Amino acid sequence: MPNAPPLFLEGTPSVSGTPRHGSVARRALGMSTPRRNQTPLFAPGTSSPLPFPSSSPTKNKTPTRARRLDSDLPASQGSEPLAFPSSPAPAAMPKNRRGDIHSSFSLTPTSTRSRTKRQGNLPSDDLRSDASHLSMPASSALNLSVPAVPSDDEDDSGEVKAIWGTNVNIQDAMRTFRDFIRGFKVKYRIAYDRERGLRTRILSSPEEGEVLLYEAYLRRMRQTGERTLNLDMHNLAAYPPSKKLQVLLVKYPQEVVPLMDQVLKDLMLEIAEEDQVAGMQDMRGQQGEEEIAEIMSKVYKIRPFGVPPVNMRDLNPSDTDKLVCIKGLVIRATPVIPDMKVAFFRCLTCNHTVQVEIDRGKIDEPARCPRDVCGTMGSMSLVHNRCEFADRQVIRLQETPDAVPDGQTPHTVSLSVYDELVDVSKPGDRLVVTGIFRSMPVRVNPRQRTLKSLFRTFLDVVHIRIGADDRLGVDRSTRPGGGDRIPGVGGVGGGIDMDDDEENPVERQHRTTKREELEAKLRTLSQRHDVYELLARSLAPSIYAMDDVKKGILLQLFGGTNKSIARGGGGGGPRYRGDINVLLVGDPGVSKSQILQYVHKIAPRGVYTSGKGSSAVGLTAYVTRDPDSKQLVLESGALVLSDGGVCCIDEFDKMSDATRSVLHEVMEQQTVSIAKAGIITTLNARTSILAAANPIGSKYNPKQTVTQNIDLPPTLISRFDLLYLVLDHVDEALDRKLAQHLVALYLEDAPVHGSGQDILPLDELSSYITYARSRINPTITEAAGDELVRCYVTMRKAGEDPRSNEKRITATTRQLESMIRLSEAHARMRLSPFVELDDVKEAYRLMRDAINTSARDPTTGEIDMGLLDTGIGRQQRKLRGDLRKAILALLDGAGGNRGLRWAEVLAQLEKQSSVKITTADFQDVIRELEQEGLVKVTGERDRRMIRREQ
Amino acid sequence: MTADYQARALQDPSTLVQELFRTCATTENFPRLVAEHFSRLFERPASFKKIPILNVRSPPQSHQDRALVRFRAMVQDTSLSTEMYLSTHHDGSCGGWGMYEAEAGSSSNASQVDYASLQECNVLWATSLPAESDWCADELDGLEPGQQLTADAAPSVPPVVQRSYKFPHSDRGHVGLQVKVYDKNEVDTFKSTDVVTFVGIITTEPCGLEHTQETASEVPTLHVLFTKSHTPNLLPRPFPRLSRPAGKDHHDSILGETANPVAQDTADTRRELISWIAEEALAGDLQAAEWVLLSCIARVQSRHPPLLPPSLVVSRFPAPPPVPSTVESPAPPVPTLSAVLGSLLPLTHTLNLSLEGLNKARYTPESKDEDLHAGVLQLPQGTVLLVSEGGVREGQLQERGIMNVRALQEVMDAQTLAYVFPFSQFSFPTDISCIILAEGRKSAFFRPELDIPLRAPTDPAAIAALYKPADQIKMPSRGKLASFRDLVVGARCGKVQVPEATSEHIQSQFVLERQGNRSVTADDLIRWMTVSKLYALSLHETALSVETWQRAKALDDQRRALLI
Repeated sequence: MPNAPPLFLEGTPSVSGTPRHGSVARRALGMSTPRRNQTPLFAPGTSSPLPFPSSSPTKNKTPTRARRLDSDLPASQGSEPLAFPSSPAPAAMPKNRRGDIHSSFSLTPTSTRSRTKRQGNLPSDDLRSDASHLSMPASSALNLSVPAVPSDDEDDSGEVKAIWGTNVNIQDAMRTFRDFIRGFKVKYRIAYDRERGLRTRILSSPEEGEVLLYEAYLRRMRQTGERTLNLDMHNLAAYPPSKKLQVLLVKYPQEVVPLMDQVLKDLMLEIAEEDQVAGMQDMRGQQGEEEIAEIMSKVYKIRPFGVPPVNMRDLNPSDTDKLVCIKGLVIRATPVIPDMKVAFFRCLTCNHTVQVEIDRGKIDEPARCPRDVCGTMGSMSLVHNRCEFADRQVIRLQETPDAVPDGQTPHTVSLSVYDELVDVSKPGDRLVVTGIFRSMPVRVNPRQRTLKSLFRTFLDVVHIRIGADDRLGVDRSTRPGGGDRIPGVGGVGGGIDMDDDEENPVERQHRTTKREELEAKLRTLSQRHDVYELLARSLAPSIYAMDDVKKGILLQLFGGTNKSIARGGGGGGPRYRGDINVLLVGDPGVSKSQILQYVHKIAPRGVYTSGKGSSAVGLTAYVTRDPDSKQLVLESGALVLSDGGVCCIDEFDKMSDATRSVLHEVMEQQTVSIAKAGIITTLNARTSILAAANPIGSKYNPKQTVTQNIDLPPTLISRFDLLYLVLDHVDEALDRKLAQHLVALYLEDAPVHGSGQDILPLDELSSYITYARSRINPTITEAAGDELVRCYVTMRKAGEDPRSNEKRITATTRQLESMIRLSEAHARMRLSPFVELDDVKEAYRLMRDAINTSARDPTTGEIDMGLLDTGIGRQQRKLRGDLRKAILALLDGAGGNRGLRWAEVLAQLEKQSSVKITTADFQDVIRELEQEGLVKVTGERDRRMIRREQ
Repeated sequence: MTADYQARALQDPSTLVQELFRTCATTENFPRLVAEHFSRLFERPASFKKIPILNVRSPPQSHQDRALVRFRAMVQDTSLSTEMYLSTHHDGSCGGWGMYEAEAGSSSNASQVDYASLQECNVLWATSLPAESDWCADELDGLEPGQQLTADAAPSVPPVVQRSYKFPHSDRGHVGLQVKVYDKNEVDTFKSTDVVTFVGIITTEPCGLEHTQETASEVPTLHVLFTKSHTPNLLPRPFPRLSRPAGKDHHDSILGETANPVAQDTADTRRELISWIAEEALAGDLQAAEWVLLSCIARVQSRHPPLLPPSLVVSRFPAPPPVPSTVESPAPPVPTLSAVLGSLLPLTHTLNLSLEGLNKARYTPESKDEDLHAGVLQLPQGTVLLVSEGGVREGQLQERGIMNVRALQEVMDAQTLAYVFPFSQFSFPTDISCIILAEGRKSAFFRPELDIPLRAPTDPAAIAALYKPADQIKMPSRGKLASFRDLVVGARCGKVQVPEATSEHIQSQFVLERQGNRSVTADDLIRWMTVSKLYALSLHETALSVETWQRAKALDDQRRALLI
């Protein structure tokens, strides 16, 4: 457009009726303006906030570039023949119309607006950055701005230009924000956090604190082409000059955010140009030019976050139009809705076109052609493909279970998300959402014309964070590295202020007051010498005695630390489970189920299920068709749901084999594999399992081994770190105490827990565990390591028997691993960062006691882990070896290919043997021989023949 | 507070609110003031009774728009979003309680909203009380027994019920309303299944449940002026029981200022009550009747540690006599016990199980599209649930059926009911004692704590008598019935102390028993204690004596003997 500049000389009001031209002209104008690098852009008197203050153009602008720039403008400009007279103002320039920010400027009295607007058109200003124009001016504002008077230049000095109805001073706000971006250093934040009493990072060098954080972010944005800057509002507060701006941003987001967007764009350009001048890599010559041009064509957005989250129930009318932050669970999201931002109308008679912007959710269709010459009534028709649309999505956010008051049903709020935030979150996600709280009038009664008196509320979202709710007490190591970042919109600047700080300091701060007290309390609690006993006692106060069982379960709740080999293939190598699994086996009526119920209530992400009722599907996951989207979705079962928590399974023995087989995978690999309906996936199920089982025949038979007593495969039993036999012994003294305990508990009308012992309330115990699990990751000291080795060797040695050359297995590496986990858990319970000698000793004691009860061979009275590992003890193994020899001898003796009848073999063996041979043993041995190819069994049932294979 | 003013309040409550607003507009918490003002106005029971009732017999449609009504309801859903309303209109009049500004009356700048005067109101969904028995409803409505509503005589509008899925038993007549609560202090106290009487202005408004639709459909809406809460058993009855002066059998008399002496005939009344239950509903089996009585007075006493009502199965309860196929009666006959319980208890519901019902119905409340659908088990606290397995035939129990059985079992075991929400479940405390009638030796679906076999009659006539319709029950005299109710309802509110001596006795007896019989466990002790406490309650004893303990234990031992 070579002829443009002359038309729009400095000081010439851009009176041309077509703002399209105007914008082109301004671009052109910008080109011709001399560089004013030295002029402070926002010096009082010259700065003009609303229009597009920007760094000066560079000198070496070429006509090529100008042309290219023009073509960058929205299509309407180039394609629309100039002959079509366009209505002047509405939506004259391409703007950054953010769906989430409905500026209230339309409510602004025109006088104020016109003034600010006029200044906007000051020719002395560079208007290059119009592409990122604010969303604030409503149609009429621009209208007024057109007949600009050049003399306006002077009268704005010293005048405060506040946005009507607010105390936002436009210039001040923009200047402050600019100052902030250019001046904010990491050290301010550290000082701020320290002031608030937060844990701060130690800097490796003083220089680190001097880093200009946001300038670095802006450069990164340029390099990565990212258009969103996530702004931690705590940083605003931390930077002394911008403290006030933070308050303004919370109170008037829809006024302040556009200002910030504007400053951001300016600064993007400014920094780019500075870098170009400095000759930074990637910014030299042509490349730099292109870079700058690209920045100009983009729309930049600030996405503020870091308002302390509130419960959605606590949002009240005073929050209307303010920036708020809530947490919740996405339960439903609509498909993307095209949301009309600008409607494009064309007169059917004269082809005159008009653009109308959306105003508070409404578009006013012009009743008649605005052109005086034409003026036809009702001739304006909407041209769909020329309208501008934004992506919009409505999300229903429901309160998370932990935020719902007791006995209440969860509330839901609607969220409107726009543009990049659309489709970022899926149903099921937990979100921390920052947005503007809106009230939208609803028509009360269609028959009666009543006015806006009743309002529904929703949130226009400006920032989303997925996940990150550490109140869940989820084991952090179970989450992917780097946390759950929002894909695609993270923007430079991260969801997180200091790059490596995993935990959001905002949330930390929010809870600090409450938490600090609690934390101090928990710390003092952990100093008590009897903390172990106290916690164990509080675990299930209504259950009498069973101290070791309670202690074992307590340690299970704390859990060992998860370890993964950091280096190695596949990004991290295998993960070693820190989860402790506990199995309770015992007589009916010893309150096993009650213990499980207690644990389910205390444990983070505790899931309770009964082995009898649950199928493999219910336990793992279930593929179902979502009624809304008609898509196949995975519904997580108990095991997946308790990922990072404890899964309590009652009536473990009643489980079907298919269900139980799933547990093999869960308990060692800690995953659940699904292959159903075309969905093949592996879900994480990093869960501790607390199971309770009844013995076969309901009463435990002390003359038999554990594996004979419970109907469970030994392979599964061996995966439990601790196996407790809870037996019911008759003992007068014990019985009396038990009765006393129960009578006290059950016959009082307002029962006190236990018999006057001091115990922790359930919620305190729960928070103690959560705290320990999330904060403490103990490491093993040398002394403890030595002790572990010693204990393990002792346990293994116990199996050596000088009288026989056959070895009983008393401990396997599984027991060593369990011992490590238990010692870690014990250290965690003490809130100690190190595993010390005493931890190992207690772990050893617990292990030994548990093994003592569960792995003792009832025939010999000796401990034999083989019992648990294979289900067969040494004694039995020896017996089977003998049996095997005898069978082979018998068959060899019988000779011939005819073989012997099944029953006959059994009868003959019976005769020979001094001990009774059970059919089960016999069957097992025969099966073994058959597998080895030594014998062959033919026929069915009673007609079975056993033949020696040659 | 003249009678005249009261009459005006009944006729035109909206104007009264406006007047109040004009005099006390500056009050910070105006809704609170309104609540106090109106509850004071209708403080006396006599004046409270004058407020027209909203119930199935007089549904919302039968009331005038913006009339004052009282609605005794169960809070069904508290998950509706809050709403904002303009508390002051442009002309300075009061907003809220469904009073909106008409468009014509407003000035040109009416499009401007003064956000500062926005106030919040909470929206609930409430339904008429499920499981409420008629006599209880009459007493709470303030009707003399047998007295009929005058409005009832007039041809009432057939109730058009919207959203019947929000009522636990959608096939029954009921009323469901959107309730708007303006007093913030009250809001959080309402929980699901709470029983509350809402007094307010009835009108229709768009439904708060439809968030996504542009135009929401209209539902009856009650703008609450004030609320009245209820005692746990709805009806106040003294414990221990007081004697009723002869000739006066209305409940007011026993709650009046004149302190009646503690009734001495409780043991006799108890015996009569048991024999009446046995005669009418259990084929004369006194023992089973005694256990049914104990179950009726059981309730949740504490959750930590769990002192929950024991569930009871009456086994060997004959299946209903086969209905001739020529008779068109789709519904299987209901055991007479249902009607008997209904005449004794304020809140009772009968669940006639059938495979079809189990596979179809929803026992747990479930949120679909952010709308909480009621479940069969969403019942007010203190309901006695009679589950009859007589209608179950062979067939397949599908997934929904299994979930339903599990839900009911969970109610029996833990007294919690899981409400299903997308991606999460919330367990809500319930207080429902269950009595199961099973045909076989055991219940087909449930594992109850107590088990009493019925001395089953074999002749068809006796079996048919177990299922005789309610109108064939020989009702006791009104005085007798009233004392029966006093006994049962009073016992449900009662408390029992355990003296030191009894506690000692219990402990040593347990130790002794265990030495004699190894199979006695702590569970047995817990059961004995639970039963003995119920036994003491049924006798209206405030302290558990050793004698009562022994009698209760003997009763349990007899029961156990029958099982073998």
